[in-house]
Amino acid sequence: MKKIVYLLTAVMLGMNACFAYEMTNQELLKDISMQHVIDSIAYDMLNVAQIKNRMIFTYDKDAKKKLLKCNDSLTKRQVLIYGDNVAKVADKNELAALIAREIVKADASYWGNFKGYIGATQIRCAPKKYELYFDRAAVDLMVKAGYNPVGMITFLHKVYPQKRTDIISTTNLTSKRVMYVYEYIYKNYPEFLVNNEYKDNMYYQNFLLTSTENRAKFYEKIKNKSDEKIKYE
Amino acid sequence: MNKFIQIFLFLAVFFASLMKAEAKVYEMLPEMPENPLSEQVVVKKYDYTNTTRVPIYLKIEDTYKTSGDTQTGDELTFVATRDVIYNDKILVKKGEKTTARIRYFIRRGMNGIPSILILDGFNFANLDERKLDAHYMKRGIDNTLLVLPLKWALTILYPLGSFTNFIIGGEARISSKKEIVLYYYPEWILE
Repeated sequence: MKKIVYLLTAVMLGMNACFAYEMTNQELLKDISMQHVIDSIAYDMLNVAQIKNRMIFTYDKDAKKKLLKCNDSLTKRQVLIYGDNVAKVADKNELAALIAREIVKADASYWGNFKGYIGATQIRCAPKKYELYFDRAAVDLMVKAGYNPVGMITFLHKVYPQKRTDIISTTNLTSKRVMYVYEYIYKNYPEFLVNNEYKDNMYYQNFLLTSTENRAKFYEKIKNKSDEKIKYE
Repeated sequence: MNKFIQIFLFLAVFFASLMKAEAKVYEMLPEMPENPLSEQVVVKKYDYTNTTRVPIYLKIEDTYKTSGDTQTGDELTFVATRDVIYNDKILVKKGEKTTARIRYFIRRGMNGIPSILILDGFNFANLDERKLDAHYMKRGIDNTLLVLPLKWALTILYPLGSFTNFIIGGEARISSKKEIVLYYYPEWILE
């Protein structure tokens, strides 16, 4: 009897190990596969946009953004792609949007004195000032690399939460950022909005729904051919 | 003796299972799961092997300084100050004019952050725009270099250090007296 119990225990333990290995490796292979996709999009973007500053891309499924940790895009030029952001990506355009923003940020970390130390410090201390630039430059990067920039709208709309106000904040309101991206695409790449691939996309439709007032202000500005800056909410 | 056999059997079965698991890992490695996003990625063609670059010297027609009125999309006019010759061909003639567009403009701010002006869209009749430096960037005077040591020095006299927040950075200025250089890479192959 004892022998049977021992043997059964050994078999059960061995089987557990079997399943554990299988699970881990499936996940590992998925991670490697995702890393390949990220690298192929990112390096193609760098080449197409002729960005001469070096940076690397690391997909980390389990890493979480830490409040007090410096952004590695700015310090080590190592773009960390977080798993929880990738989980919200629905297509290649949205993934390209995520990567393009980080590329622009890492590229900006080369600006300024002391090999970019001062420039990166400024970006870390006043991200609000640079955020809109990152969004717009990322849209240009996406178009250059052959992606649909409307993916940036759906990506920002899904990933970034909406604060109450941005008056005493280090970041802009997401609704404001998305609207500036919409305005930028409208002015520079209207063909993407005319023949809109995302017309039936539920996230894009939700953006249209939530930005009704802001868009009305923008259309009014276009109608009146005004140069005044709109205060989006 | 019986116990030894029992332990031996236990270990044999246990390690056999582990070895089987390891074998499974090696079997699985070549079978990379196909990522649905990978099919959608289209890579463009380019060849940056050649390092030949031709400098193009330009001067802005009128000195330009950023201000509250500066808007993205504004155009600035530049004039070529020297002939640009490559393979016995004149690529840019001295005096040829080109316009550049303000692509991005980041306003100056507190803590000495300077304004940043990024221009693109330099057009020349005989040049392929894609082989020209993508951007020209000009930053204002970076007063953060002054702010940081001052802030640290004044920390002991609380709250004087905080007043350094109100030091503003410089406006970006492109002088009509200074030449700017853009590089052209004639041998690059782009799709």
